[in-house]
Amino acid sequence: MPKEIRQIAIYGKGGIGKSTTTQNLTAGLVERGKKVMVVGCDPKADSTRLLLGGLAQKTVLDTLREAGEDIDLDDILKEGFKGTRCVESGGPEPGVGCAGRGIITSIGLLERLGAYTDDLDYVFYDVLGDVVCGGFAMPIREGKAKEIYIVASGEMMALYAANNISKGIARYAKQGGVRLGGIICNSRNVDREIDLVRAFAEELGTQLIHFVPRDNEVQRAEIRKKTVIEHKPECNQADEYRELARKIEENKKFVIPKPLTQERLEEILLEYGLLDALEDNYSI
Amino acid sequence: MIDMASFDELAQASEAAVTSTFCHTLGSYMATALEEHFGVPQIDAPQPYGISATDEWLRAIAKAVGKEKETEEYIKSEHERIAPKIEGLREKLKGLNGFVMTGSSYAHGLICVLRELGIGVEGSIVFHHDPVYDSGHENQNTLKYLVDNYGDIPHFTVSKTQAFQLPNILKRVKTDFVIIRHNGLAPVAAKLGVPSLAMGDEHFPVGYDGIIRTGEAILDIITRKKFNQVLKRHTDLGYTDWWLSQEDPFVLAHHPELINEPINEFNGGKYDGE
Amino acid sequence: MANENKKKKSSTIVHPRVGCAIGAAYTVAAIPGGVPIANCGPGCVDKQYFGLSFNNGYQGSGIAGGGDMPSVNFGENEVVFGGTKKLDDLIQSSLKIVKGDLFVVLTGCSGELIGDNVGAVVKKYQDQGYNVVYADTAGFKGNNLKGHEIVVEAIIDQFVGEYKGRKRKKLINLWFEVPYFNTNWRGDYIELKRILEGAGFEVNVLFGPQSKGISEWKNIPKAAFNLVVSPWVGLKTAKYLEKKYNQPYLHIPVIPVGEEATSAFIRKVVEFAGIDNTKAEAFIAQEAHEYYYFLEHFSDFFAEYWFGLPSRFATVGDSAYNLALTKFLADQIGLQPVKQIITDEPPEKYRDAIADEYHNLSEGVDVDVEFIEDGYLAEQSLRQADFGGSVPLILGSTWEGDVAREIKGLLLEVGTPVSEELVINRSYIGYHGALTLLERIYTATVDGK
Repeated sequence: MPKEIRQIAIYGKGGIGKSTTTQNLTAGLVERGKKVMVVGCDPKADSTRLLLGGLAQKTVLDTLREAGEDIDLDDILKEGFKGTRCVESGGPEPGVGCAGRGIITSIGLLERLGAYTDDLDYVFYDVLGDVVCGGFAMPIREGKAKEIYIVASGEMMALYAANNISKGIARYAKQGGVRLGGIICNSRNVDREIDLVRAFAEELGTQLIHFVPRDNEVQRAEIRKKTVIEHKPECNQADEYRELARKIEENKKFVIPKPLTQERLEEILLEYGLLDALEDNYSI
Repeated sequence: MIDMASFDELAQASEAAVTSTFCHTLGSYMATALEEHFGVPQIDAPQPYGISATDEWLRAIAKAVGKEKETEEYIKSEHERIAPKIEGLREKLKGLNGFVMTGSSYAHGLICVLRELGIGVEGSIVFHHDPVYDSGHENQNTLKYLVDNYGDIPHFTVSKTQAFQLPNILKRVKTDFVIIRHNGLAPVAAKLGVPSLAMGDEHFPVGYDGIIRTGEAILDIITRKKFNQVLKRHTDLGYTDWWLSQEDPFVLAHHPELINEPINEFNGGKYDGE
Repeated sequence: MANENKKKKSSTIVHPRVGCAIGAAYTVAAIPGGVPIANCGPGCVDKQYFGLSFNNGYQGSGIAGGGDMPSVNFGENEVVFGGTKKLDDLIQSSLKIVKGDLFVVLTGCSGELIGDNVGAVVKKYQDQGYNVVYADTAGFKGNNLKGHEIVVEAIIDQFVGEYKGRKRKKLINLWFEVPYFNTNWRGDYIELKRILEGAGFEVNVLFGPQSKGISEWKNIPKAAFNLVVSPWVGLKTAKYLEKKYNQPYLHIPVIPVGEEATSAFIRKVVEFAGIDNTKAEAFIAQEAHEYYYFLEHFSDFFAEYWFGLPSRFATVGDSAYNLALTKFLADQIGLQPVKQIITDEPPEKYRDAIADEYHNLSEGVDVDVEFIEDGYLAEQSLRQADFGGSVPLILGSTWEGDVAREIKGLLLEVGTPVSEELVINRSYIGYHGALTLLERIYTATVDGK
């Protein structure tokens, strides 16, 4: 009986670190011997830069536009770090066209070209920040990603976005099999960040699956177009990503999220977010 | 003028003495604009459907251009000319009932003509209703003119009627033919045994001759009824029995919860095959 | 030649001879018991109706087409906020009001652009056992022939489903003309079915008045093989069925017209099927006897009537009819093909094979077929055809009328749009149809109409 590929979608506020986190945790997975495909679902086409060592990749949509429907998988699928398979959907430039439709077309093409082979263990969809239209929900339609992880930080806007995205997830979850696997906190060194995000996650009905500390090693690796695991495998941050990879591999907690009301969200932010409050209460 | 005018005609429009339209729904906007911006008055008279309305319409135009005397003579001679023809038509059309499905103001006019010919009109559908037209003139209230001069219509419906509602609507009234201008509805009426006068964009019921033209057109299609009866005997409308048994064509609007009940007994849309 | 056309991407056309993908609503309407549900803007399907059915032989639309088709009438609200709720309501009410066996939701441009999850909406009904399927037929994907293939595959995928049972030796699935688009489809299907049954087969015709509707579709997997009688439409479907149900297929690109071609066709199919040919041979003998009775009588006229008989002809139209009629007239009647233009945009990969057929039409006949979808260019090319001194004969569509008048030629409308003829059940193919075709052509020459 064919083993089912674990298809995972990564969502979260724009700029929060989805692509960085996805690529780094992918490196962790392939290190453990897993076969992974990363599908970038962002017109910026920057979801596989660290795995491929650069932005050289021809996007699916560009290839379609130039060569028509008669293309091979090789034209758009490239192998990166330790054999990771990388695909970028691409899309229109800012201000024109319809990126959402682009994602639909691109993923459809991947299917038709047979990119989803039996030997894959994981497929990650790295999806553009705000899920603003139906197209960006393509990865979580029936038959695609069954698990979603939202990348957030302790910043208010990141949590606000995560909550908003959960509304979309809840809708798709009720219609089909997709579920929220957890929140990944990409630390911004906000006060009491880990408590805040954990509380938020629990309120949402899910878990804070891992807290990734802020570390400049990530930036250093990025500039060199590498994941941390590739660039400096023995540093602490590399271990954090390995841990994240392990947790995701072993995760069994999948839920339909319960999005918070605006009031409740603000309450939690107040409860955990203010250092002043702590100082006021601080006493030895 | 609207729809078919050349560039030159449009340019000349503001030099006209008066404006008139045969359908306020579509024409009153332009007419009012010409009045307000260029001082071209709209004539204040009912629309020229039916004998007395046509008389008044002509008189109003006559007044605006100063040709009252000639117009009175014209009206008189026209009356004499058409009287025998209309009598003849009334004889042949006696006992018939018609059903009008057109745009708002046009329907009012058309029903005037039908009633002028002595045809009964028990019901009608208009796709919308404008209580006020752009000029605000009393005489532009075509519905009022219709009811005041030709009597009330028992089953007058204003709705974006859909084809599937026709069987229920026509169940409520006696009708021998329908007059329709838009496409899509006539085939359903046909299968119910009712021939249609598919008028499309034609405007031939206008004026004195219009009454005659309409009467003759109706006579032509009435005989076509035989074909429609054959269809009715042998074809299926394609609607479920549940729907066809509904008395109220608008039951779904009145009771939207009905949609949620179990559906489609013709197979249930479900397949029980081999 | 093919590559030149590709680089010269013509992005505008006039005088269209095809519809857009959502015209495949009429593929559904052609299935007895099929009800299309149009998930698109208000004007879309109206246009398809006029292009493919009304101004195309005034074919009418049956119960679920024309003015009666349920439609979402996608508006701005739906584009901005999503149209799935409206679709859901529509499916529910359609199931309640319209009598149907199979409801097919066709999603048009708007829904596809904004990424409406139509599959999730439809799945709700599928899970409850209702026969509802969905097809993504955005107009921007291509013309109605493409839409036709998409819809057929969707129905097979979602409605026919899995099957592992045995096959029936004499049952075949027929993949033939595109309903409504090929104007004579109803008569042609009847004739081809008659021919195949005469040869000893049982046929799933799947569309038209002689189809048994969805029960035939459910029987698709039981067929011994798939018979594709068309230059290219249906090949994709056959390959899909080969993978899904392990069914072989026989591809016959030229629709048989006339006795020789039709009898050869029968023998080819019988041989492929491996069934006994006694019945087929008897049928052929009978049909040939009748056919030549008429042909012989016709030959008096053909031999003796001189005035204005055409000797050269042009065909402008869709691949299927273009190829079939060109071959018949060239090979059997001996007319000279001087300009053949295919207007239904076959995908690049099929064009070489199609062009090959034109090089092998008949002994001594070799034609370079052109693939032109822009009416302006097609008509321009047509004007340059050399008809010599004889009356030009053009088999085309209403659009060829302008050129026909200019060159004082005879126009026979054989493909979309056919707006100057009313078509009910006539055929131009097989045994009977060939004779009807001759009637039409030669009636035109004796100045009839």
